[in-house]
Amino acid sequence: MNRICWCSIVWGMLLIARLAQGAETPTIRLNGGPTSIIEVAGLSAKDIEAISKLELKGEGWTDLFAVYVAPAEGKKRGPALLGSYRIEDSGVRFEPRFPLMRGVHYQVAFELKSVPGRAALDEKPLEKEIFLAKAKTEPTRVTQVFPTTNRLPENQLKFYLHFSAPMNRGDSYKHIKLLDDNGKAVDLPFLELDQELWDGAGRRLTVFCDPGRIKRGLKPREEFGPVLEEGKCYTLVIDRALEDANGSPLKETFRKSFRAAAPDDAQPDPKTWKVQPPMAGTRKPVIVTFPKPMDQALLERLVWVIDGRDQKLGGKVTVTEEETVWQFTPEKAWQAGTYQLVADTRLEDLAGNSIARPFEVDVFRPVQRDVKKETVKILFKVENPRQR
Amino acid sequence: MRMKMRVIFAALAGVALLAGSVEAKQTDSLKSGTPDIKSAGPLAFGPEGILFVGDPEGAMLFAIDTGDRTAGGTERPKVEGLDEKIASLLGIEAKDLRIVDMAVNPISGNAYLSVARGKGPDAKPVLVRVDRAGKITEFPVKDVKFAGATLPNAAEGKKRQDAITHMAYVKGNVVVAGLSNEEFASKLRSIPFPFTEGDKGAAVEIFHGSHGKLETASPVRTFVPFDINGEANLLCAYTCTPLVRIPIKQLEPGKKVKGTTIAELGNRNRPLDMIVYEKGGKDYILMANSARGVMKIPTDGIDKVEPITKHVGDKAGLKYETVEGLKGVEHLDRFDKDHALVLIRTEGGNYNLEAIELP
Repeated sequence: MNRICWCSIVWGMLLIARLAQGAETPTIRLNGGPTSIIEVAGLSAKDIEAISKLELKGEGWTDLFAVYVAPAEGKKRGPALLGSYRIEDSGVRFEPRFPLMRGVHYQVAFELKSVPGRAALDEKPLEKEIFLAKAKTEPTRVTQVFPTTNRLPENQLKFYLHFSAPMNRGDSYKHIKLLDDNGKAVDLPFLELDQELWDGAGRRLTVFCDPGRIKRGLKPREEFGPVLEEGKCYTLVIDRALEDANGSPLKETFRKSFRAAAPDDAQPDPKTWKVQPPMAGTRKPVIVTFPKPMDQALLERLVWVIDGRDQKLGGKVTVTEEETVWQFTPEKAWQAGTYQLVADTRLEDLAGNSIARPFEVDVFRPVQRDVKKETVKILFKVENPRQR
Repeated sequence: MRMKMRVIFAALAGVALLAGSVEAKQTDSLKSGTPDIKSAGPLAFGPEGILFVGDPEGAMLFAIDTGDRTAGGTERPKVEGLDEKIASLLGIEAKDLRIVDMAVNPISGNAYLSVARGKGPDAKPVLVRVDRAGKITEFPVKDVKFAGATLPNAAEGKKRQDAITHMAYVKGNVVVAGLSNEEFASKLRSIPFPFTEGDKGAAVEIFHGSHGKLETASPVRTFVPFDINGEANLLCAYTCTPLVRIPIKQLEPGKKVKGTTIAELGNRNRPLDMIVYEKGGKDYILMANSARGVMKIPTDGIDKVEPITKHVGDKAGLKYETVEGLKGVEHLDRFDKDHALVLIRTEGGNYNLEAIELP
């Protein structure tokens, strides 16, 4: 008999022997969603024992069994996923170090030929593609941009961009532009920080206008001029290409048009605030009106109410009327008495002037107030209706 | 003669003991455990292979013992597509990896990277090590010796956070520069290490005086410690662009600190990283800059540079030259006495890691 014939007989006998051992065909299984363990099942007890004897550790496993991120078109496959391997009676398991990412194509490979005792069978490697589809979600959109007003001081300091769902970070400045009234983009109007200034939930982005161009006497302003010029119109554009945390673009591009007014270098002065106290026995809000719009985020955090015993009241703050009105609705009905509205002196207006100091302090001008205290307080009385 | 030898031996033993006990003091303050790092932040190396890790979301500063105290060889890493390789190991696509910072352990030459696996608010922070041979592994922070210090302003409301722009270990303190995502303030904190419960360190407000007349709060993008005539200083790059020097002794609690402008680096420049190095007996600053490539700034006369209080032409104060052929450098750190390690973003968007000769 010729050689081919003999090889076929040997191969056939090995296969029969394997089948006689009651081994199923090995397969790759995934036992769930992103936190799955990937298992090669259907190996015979003999296979499992042989693999154990190899005493594979760490990277040594990857020639036998590994999971990869499927490479992009024309690119080479990268190193295998980090993770831990375990040999069980049922098979060999791989637990990825991190959960699988939805929307990513993975390739699992198990090299049967590397299992001692199976080499002669010359089997092709076991392969499986894994893809966990992303959950379908409503497209994310910009819900609000503060300041609300469409008349901003020339030295406007920052914008707060609010989104309906968590967002990705890293490329934000590429997709946020300021257009002049000719539709031309203002060159580099914003402070670009690699870290980007998101809140913890990833739903609010703070964008500062380039302070080098707002501050007078600095090179960027000398070279480029201020970011905004009084009398001119602008549009803040948040391009829909900005990605949410699902990697999807926004529902639509958002635009906010506004006009630049005169620069504002006046410090917010609590003496100019109007305080309207509520009636005792009600849960109506105490209402504070400011002569000009204030910084929305700071209004929510840096103003509160204390009672006659200096205890901070629990309740809800709302900011309305283009950030010129602050209201506080207490959890419990007001009791008649004296209260104090407390404002942290770091509270800023739209140009970054705070109660404590103007955005730019002219060290030669003594007229500016340098408020050294941390808070300022305004007394107000809550009266019973029949006392009127 | 014998007596003299005994005295010498005793003295040497005494010095060794003292050195040993000083060494023990640094890692002694660290206890075994798993630090709860909530977000990927900047890195800085301290003594004895201790890696400082900033966590802006958790408002924490961690000191982690890398255990990496063996001097490396002479190899220098060169890795193309470092971001793709790291992403592959972490099971994501390169576009979902954010490389936040890079620091080289001066003892071993191993590079550590702070990366975020994902770009959303739930992105997992991961520390990755690249050795001199270019081999990439995770540096898992499970069951490590570590300590944590809370960064003040931590609990000011869920929306408010401080972005940590830069950190460095300077003469027994970790100096942390940051800016808030709400009020326009610039804080520089100096936290003594080893961390102690009660000592939150000094926080100073940094200001800039333009033309000696207009004073404004000035967040710091990046800084580097530098001794000027034996006095410890920080060379700081402000977000509004001037390069200033601040003597470290001014970093006292509650103090208002104004840096002395030593250079107006020109418009459109965004300093990313700075190191100080010595060549031919002179000190230079090497600065990676988003718009201007890599700049080499001689420090001759840095103590004598007239504080810039008048507007002058483009290259006022310290002069600088752009280093040829180095575009796209996003991260830079000292590697050894003759080289820096750089992470370059290529035109294609991928990152290459390589060592460059200090110019």
